[in-house]
Amino acid sequence: MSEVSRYLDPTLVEHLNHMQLYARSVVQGGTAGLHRSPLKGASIDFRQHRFYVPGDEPRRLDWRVLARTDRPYVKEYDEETNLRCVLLLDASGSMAYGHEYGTKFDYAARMAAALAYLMLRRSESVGVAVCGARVERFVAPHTGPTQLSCVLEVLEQSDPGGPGDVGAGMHDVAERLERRGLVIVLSDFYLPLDEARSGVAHLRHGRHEVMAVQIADRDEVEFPFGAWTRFSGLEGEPVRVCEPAAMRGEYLRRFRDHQRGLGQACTMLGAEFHSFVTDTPLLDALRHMLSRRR
Amino acid sequence: MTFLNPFMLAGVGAAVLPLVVHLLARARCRDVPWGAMMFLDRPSRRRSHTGKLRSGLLLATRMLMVAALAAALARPVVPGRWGGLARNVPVTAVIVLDRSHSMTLEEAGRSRLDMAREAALQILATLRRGDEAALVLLDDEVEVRPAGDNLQALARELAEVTASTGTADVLAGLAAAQRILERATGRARELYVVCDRHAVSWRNVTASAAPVMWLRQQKTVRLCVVPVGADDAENVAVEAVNLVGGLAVRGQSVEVEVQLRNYGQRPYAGVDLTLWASGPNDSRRRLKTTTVNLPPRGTTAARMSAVFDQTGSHVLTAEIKSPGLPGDNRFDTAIDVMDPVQVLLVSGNETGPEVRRESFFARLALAPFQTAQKRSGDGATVTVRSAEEWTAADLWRCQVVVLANVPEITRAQARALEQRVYEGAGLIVCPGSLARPEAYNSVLYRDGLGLLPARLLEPTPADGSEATTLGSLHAEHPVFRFASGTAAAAADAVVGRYFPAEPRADATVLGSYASGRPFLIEGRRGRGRVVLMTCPLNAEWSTLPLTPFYLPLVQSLVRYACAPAVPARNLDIGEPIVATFEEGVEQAHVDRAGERLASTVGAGGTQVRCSDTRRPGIYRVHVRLKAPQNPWRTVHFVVQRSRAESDVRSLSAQEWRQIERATRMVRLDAQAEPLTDAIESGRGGRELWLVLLACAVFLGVCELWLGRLLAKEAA
Repeated sequence: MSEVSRYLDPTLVEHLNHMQLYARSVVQGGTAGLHRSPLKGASIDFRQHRFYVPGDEPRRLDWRVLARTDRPYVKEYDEETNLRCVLLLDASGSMAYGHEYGTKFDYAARMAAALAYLMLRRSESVGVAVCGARVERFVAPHTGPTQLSCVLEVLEQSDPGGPGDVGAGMHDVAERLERRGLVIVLSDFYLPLDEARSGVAHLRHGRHEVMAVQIADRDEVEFPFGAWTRFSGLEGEPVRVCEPAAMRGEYLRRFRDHQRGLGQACTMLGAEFHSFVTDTPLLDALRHMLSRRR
Repeated sequence: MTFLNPFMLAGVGAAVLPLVVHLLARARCRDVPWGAMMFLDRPSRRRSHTGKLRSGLLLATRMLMVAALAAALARPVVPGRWGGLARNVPVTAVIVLDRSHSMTLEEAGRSRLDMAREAALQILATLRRGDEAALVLLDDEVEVRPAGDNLQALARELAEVTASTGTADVLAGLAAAQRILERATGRARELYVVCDRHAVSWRNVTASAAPVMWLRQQKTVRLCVVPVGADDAENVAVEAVNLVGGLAVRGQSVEVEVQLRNYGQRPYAGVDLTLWASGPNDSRRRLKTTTVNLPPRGTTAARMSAVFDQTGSHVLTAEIKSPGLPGDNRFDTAIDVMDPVQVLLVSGNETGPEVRRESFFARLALAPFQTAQKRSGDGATVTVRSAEEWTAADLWRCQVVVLANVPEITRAQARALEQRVYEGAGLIVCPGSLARPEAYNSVLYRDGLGLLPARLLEPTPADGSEATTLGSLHAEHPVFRFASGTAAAAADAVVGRYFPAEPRADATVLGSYASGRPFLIEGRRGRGRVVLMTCPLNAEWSTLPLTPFYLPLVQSLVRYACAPAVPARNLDIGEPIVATFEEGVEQAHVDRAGERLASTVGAGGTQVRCSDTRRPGIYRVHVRLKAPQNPWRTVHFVVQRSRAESDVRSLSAQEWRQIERATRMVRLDAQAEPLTDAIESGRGGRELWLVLLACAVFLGVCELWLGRLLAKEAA
């Protein structure tokens, strides 16, 4: 329990009990659930009438239509299934940045734990993938009361560090998932736009619903440094000495361009993009994310 | 470029402070582990260049701003036409104006002084509000008008400057200008010498002179010389007027010699020369008129005889009509016309036949009319006393004592003689056959301390084996001035015997025998003169008395010996007038050209003094003596001005170059270029501090703009 409380404190859990995550598109779950499935099955949501062909179950015939028109029609209903979600967490060195409000990795892990709790409570299947330069830990999506512990354990055991490639992680996850589901990528996305776009495209190609959540620190958004500063890269990049006052404009321009490009790429590929700063309360961030999915 | 506050230049070093701050800040940078390194990658080349350029520009702007501020505080002064960019520096200009006598020379209807005055006014016209100007007038004395900013008053004063009769000394003017300019700190200093090209004025300007050295060291003092007048000038001057005999005796024909000099390159023929005389009652009369010819750069002496009927003070004036300076076409000299000279002839041989006595020949030469029992016409009155009977009382009544063949002199007589000679009487010693050399040497020579100017040796043998003739005579000496053209007559005289003599160190040998032994030796004691003739006055040892040379020689000797008794009437400028009278003065005053001057009576009431003799001219001392029935008397004094100004020779090109090298002066030729343009174009002393301050302010604005631009970009 102590491990659980690190990323999932009771106050947050209390609020999460009143929230729900919906899938925007059809998903292929393993069990019946709240979400639409690409398969037709038994449910209360009528989809269409179809002319009877031999082999259809006679119980699906719409007797009223047959009586009126003397033509056999079959009633089809949407199948409802549960959500299969994979939480892809970036554990590269850059995620270790953060001061007052903790590191970006902590923020992302708390968000992942909250989402896992939220979904598992609704009997969704939740898996988790932690990637640095590649996917280092992977827990396949499952439902059940023990899945949350598995997810949290993976999160607890992960530490940010070293070079990262969340693009490669998305490709890896896309390869691992066999059925359509929801992939939530929690990262700072400090990688070239083409690589990010390629990873999202790969996931979308597998008809997965993708939610890209960018986590940034306030320093990275505002670049508030004044005096001469020696920046040493958290992912092993060479040291850069510069006068921030002179560099600030260029930095912010690049940062915003990158963020904007990331959002545009996601939009073009039909993915959802969110950007949060670590000083944003997690509950607010979750509400913001979930509100857009109703 | 020069700096008025050069020590502030050290502040320019503070320009590196922004750079130092920049480097220090860079060295003290903080370490930040950073994730978003991809956004800190080097910017694009264009952006990188622009950013670096702006940062560098900002740094350079800050450094330049500090440097400009420091340079402005150092108050730089730029010379030449670049000075037009800047504000005027207050100028202190000293105008040294030559108003010496040579400036009266006229060229094309205008005097050089007019030209100089015009040039000085043009210099003043180049000055502006806030500038100061001082005026230094060159004359025998330097007159200084201190520096002031009332230029109009100075211009009025300039317009009233008149030429003097003195000599200019440019060096003295430079020294006066130095004193003024040394006080003008923080201002542009300019020194203008406006003068003619007169070489005499520049005679003392040498590289080693103190003011010249000061000028060389002062880089901020601009020395400009504005020469006026032409290079070549003609001038003929009366140089001197002298009495040939040195003495004028009432009723006696006296020869007056007038010396003229041609300072020009052209010869002059038929120059009119007139000799005037003014008597005690100031009545002027023409004595003689003649014409003279003058070779180029040569001198001529004209002699004219004159007779004065009255005793007392006279002024002789020689005038010519010639080109050049008007002031030196006339020469005045004051003379005293005396009664005949009182001569006491002490003869050692008054017992033999008269024709063998020295007194016979001497009286015949000095007072021929008296000898011929005529009442007047002689230049001297001769009193003969034998060697045994003359007393000290006889000495007070005479002006010249002649010791003719006196065997020996007692010590008491020698003391009386010494006293009289020290008071100004003349003594002529003519030893003869009776004279004992050892007695003369012991009493009169006294190893060089006595009256006699030479030690007497034993006379040459009586057999005539060492007979000789008169040899070289000092023709320029006043004693032999009479012999001009007739010196050959002296060679006819045969001197059978004479006293060889060894002259004292301070004695002057005026003539010698053909043997080389001295014939005539002059010495001075006190105010009197002593002349030793080494052969007797009679014809016992020589044939000299039988030649035409004898009479003028004896008369000239007496006049020469008497001359010190005549008070000096011709003075130099500044030399005080001292008129001594035999009686006490009851009333006295001194005037010059009708202007009464301050005078004092002193020396027991027998002396009138006047010190105000700064101007040349004729001064008259009017006195009324206390003696009963004495009317007013007038005594003339002439204050002579220097004739150096008469030499109008101009400086040669080489001399100009030497002066230019010594003084770093700039010569401004008013004929080649308008003077105002030349002064303005060459004027230094325009300060740049305002421009630099404006630059600093502008750079400050630029710094703010660049800083805000960079800050805006950073935001």
